Amino acid sequence: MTNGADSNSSDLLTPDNAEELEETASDRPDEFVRLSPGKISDVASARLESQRSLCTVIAILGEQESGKTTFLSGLYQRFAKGVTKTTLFAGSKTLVSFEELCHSARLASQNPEHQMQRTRLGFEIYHLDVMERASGQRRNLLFIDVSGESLAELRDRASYSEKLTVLERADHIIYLIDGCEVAASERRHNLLEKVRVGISRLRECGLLIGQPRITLVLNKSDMVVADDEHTTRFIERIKAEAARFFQTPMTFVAMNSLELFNCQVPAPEAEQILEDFLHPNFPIQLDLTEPPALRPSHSIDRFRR
Amino acid sequence: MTVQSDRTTIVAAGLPNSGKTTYLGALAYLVGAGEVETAMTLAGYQPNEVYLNLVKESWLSFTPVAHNPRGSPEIVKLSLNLAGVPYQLIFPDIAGEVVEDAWTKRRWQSDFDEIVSASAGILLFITPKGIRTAETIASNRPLLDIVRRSVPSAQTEPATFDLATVPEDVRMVGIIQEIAARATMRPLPLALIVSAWDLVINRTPKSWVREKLPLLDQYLTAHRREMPSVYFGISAIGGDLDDPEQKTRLEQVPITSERVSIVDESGISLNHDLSAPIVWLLTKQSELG
Repeated sequence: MTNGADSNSSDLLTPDNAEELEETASDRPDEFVRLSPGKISDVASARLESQRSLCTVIAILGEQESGKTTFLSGLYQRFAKGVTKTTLFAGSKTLVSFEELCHSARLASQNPEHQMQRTRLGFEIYHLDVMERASGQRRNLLFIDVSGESLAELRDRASYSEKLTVLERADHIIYLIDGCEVAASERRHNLLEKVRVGISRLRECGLLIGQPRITLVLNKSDMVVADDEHTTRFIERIKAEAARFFQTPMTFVAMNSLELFNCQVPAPEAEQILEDFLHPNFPIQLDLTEPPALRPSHSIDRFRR
Repeated sequence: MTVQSDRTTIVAAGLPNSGKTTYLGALAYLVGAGEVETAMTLAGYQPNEVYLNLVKESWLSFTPVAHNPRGSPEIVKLSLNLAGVPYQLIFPDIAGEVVEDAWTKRRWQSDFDEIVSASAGILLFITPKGIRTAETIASNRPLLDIVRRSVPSAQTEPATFDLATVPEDVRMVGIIQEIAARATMRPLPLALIVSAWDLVINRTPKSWVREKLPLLDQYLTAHRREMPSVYFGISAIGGDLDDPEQKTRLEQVPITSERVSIVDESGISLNHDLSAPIVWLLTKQSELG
């Protein structure tokens, strides 16, 4: 069973030390038991979670504005609306974090447009316990949402890797590529260089020691013109570069993570990614002999050897 | 307060105004009065019936029960018979504010903690009134555009995140996770009671929970082995007391127990038998315990 509590029951909270405790009308001396915070806010807690059986640690990487946080919160949102087809929500130790993350995209925020808060320098940790509907198999998913600024810092200074050691345990990497940058011919080569250096740094600094699986996500794929030959070839270059540097099983997905928030529309890419989390040992490898072609938006491009 | 580790301690929990105390008042009356058929019947009165009499009286007189919102849980004890077998049932009537605080302030009273660890089952109450769902801007784009075009003044200031306003099913999952982490009994059966069921139209409890409380429905489905669950729809009052016509109609029901109605999760009527959720909890505990 999911254990929602990080604290132990003897951890008593008294009115003297409870910073948020309000005056309450009680008929006896108050004594409170502290409950789990609904967040995982330190690396030690994350490591503890990652050591639990059947836990997949997923690092979410990409440049600023590539849609990392939108992708993650969109996955949770689909559970919150009960529209996932193959998996069920089975619990979370970061319910508070997820709700805070999704707030600005919800009607309750009264925002005129969908908004998403940015991950602060460093990383945020999120937890989901999910169950595959067909098999009843359960798995803990621990997400490390690394800010784009952190990846930039790592490119600039290898010493920054000391702040990202939490990635060492990653079983799966979701690497998001911003479709807007791919579509802009004047910026796409800079993007490729950032991906190349970023991945090299991750490897050089020993942050990918566990041979994680890779899902390369071309996000905002609706911004990319599918029949543009230069763009198509460029995407193939990114895939090839990623394959060369990661040297681990890889999947390529084209999607728009913002659409995960439109729960009336199916999201087969997200469903497939969730299934991949549940079956971390399923062999998938990028096959570079496939003809280079960008699939239509929302399609899944799974190259298997 | 010390709670014995007793298989018959059943936690009655829910957010404020979710119908817990009304249910307990109606149940206590029905099993004692014998006006309608119930699977469980009253075996005898308790030495101290002060709180029980108060909640019964409130139910009978169509008035809400006054309670100390953040005080110690009131304990309702009932001696009931089920098919000739006597049960001593203890229902800690937890104020909804305690459950609300558990979510927003991330703490609960230590005596509630003791109750939880000794519980043999959970009666979880939720009202269909004012349910919030996790609706997104993206899913409602066309409707929002129409509203903004036709009513420009509908523009409002953005609301900051507030834990107290997240969807009810998220809060319920948060609370159940805490209960599950502390309860010593396994399995720990849970009966989800949708109160004020007379307000729900063309739904079964199962389909209503799936639609309105999707996160909770998924959680309970995923935990069906260690936390077997069932849903009921209950109208313990019989109608809306804020509607003068309905109130008058209810007051004029000759056999007052008959204003109560209950359906199982498929929507099949169980007539007036409010003991059905407790019978299910005891049976499940007996089968699996």
